[in-house]
Amino acid sequence: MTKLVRLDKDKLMNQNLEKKEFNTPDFVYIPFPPKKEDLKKEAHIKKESLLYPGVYAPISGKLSGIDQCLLFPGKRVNCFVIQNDYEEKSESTKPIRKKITGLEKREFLDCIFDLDLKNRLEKNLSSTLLISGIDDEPYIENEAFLQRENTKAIMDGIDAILSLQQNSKAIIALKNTDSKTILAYQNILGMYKNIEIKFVDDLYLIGKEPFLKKYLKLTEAFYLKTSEVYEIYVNLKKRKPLLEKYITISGNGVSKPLIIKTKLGVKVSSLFNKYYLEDLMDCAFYVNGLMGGVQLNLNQLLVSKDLEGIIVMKRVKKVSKACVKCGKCISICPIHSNPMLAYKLGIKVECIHCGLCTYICPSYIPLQKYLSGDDGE
Amino acid sequence: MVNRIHKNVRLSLENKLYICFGLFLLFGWYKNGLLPFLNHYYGFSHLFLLVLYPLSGFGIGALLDFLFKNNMPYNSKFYGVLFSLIIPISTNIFWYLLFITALLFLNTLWISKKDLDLHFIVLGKLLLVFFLVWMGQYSYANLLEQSHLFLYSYLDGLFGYSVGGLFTSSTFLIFLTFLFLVFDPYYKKEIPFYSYGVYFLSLLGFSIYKGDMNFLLSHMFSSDILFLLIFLAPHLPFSPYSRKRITIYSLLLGIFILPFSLLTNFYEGAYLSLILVNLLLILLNSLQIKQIKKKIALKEQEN
Repeated sequence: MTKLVRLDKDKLMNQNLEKKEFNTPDFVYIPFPPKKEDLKKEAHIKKESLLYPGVYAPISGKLSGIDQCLLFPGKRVNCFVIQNDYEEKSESTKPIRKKITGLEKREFLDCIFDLDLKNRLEKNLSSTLLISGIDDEPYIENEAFLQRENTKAIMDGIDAILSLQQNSKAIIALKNTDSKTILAYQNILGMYKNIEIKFVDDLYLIGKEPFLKKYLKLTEAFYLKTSEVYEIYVNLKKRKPLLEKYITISGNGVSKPLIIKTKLGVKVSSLFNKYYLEDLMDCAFYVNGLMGGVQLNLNQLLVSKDLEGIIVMKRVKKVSKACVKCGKCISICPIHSNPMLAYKLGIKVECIHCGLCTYICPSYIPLQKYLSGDDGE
Repeated sequence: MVNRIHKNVRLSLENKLYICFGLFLLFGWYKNGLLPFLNHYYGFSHLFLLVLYPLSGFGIGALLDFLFKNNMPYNSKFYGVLFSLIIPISTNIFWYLLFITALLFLNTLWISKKDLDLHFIVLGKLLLVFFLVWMGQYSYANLLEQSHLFLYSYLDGLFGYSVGGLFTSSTFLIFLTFLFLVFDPYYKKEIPFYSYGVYFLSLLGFSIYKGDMNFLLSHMFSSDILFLLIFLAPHLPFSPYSRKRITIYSLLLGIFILPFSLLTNFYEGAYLSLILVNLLLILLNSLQIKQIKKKIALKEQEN
């Protein structure tokens, strides 16, 4: 595996990051499942009620129609529209669990609402738990914020997972530059004897599973992100699905960077309408970051589990030049692909969409676009 | 339109190279222009004539860049200046203009369009040398040097008082500029390191075999060879980009320099070696592309 690199970031970009909560959207949009099953129009839906396997209603309200929306990384989907009645009537009547440790494995898994997460816990759980509290994308700080706000909940969530197996331990990986998060953990770390913190260098991609495992030499460990641990905690403690998400909005195109806690299924445009009054016509919107993200039109984009943030950048007049054949895109590629083959011959090559080839290119060629096998525009 | 994150580079490699060229031009003008003028070997107009070489190369390049507006990795202006640095001192301005115009046209209309990796500057220099030899005008020494020929000491040679290309005779400046370039993330520093290493070892072996250590001393810091290894061999568009190929290219270049220099002379032997490894690289690249295209065609057939 290639040596990971430290990115040249604008340190002022996320200064004064503010937190906001947007819990009362007028509408939320629920994508159809693969096999369409019609819900009755005008039907009343309770908050957290099961709509389809693995899909729950983030708000209460009535079904008011169908709309076409966009999901990251650009998939068009038909959605049911739920109009908010602002009553927040919940389906769940179960009381909050007092203790979430010491559950039987079956009971534990039955509490997990997300099907993918449940599957992973069922199949791959090992005696060492590796928790990544790292935001890889520059200017996106969802994991860090989540940890600072919910440190105790995350520690309890880890403790609950550890209680499934005897003699197991957990390692939380944090960037050694993330002092605020480190401080938040240090205050309560003494209460959890099987959990330790390991600091890693501020390198791009270090938070991703294969790279983190390799860096910490923990190839057999079971990997989770802190957001997944928090979801497990909410599932176990509150006996309900996690239907909220942190979204970072930053970039040189917006007046103030924000971390917004909002419901799944909310249109991203409604967040912008609420918090940003400035004219963003002359800006480019990078969904999920400037490195691995994609440039999308935000009009129909929905907040989904895969959406991490929007980086708004002022458009600049910088034209890509011809390839100088420096070969840096090849030497920096963490999976040893050859982006030049994709660029010069239009050949589809293996790609994890990390964006490092575009980052390093001295000719400003958007190599990421060519790697997917298209012509670049 | 590009506004993602990019690596911060305060000064591009191209601009760094221009700074290096500026230093060479200054010293070359002093050594081949001012010094002989002060010793009454050239007239006053020679001081301006010397400046005319890089300026006209730059001007013709700029004109071609303006006329064709090709999106090339390095523009014609750059090559116009680069070519003026390495030509023999005896090159007549008229022949120089003819050659540089032809070379820049060749690059603009054919090499860059076909995306060939042909090092046309090295090829052009060799053709110019053949032409000058044919015309009986081939010489790297200015009139002052011709009068004191071979009176330079090794130390003189290090500081630039040696017979060499029009603006490339200072070994000291070449080392200095190498130190400036070696920290650039895009400069292929492995090429000069590996190839010089191999060249030095072959030179050492040959000197021991001959029992003449003066041979080693007089050729190990040859400014023309060092200039070629530091500026021409690692030039991005005409050198390999994968680690494996960089190693092969550098080693072969280092191996070829001594035998070619012994066969021809120590000014052109290195240029011959470079064009040979450059042609090998082009051959390897075309074979690789053919192989890849074949594989894709086979895959498509299977599907």
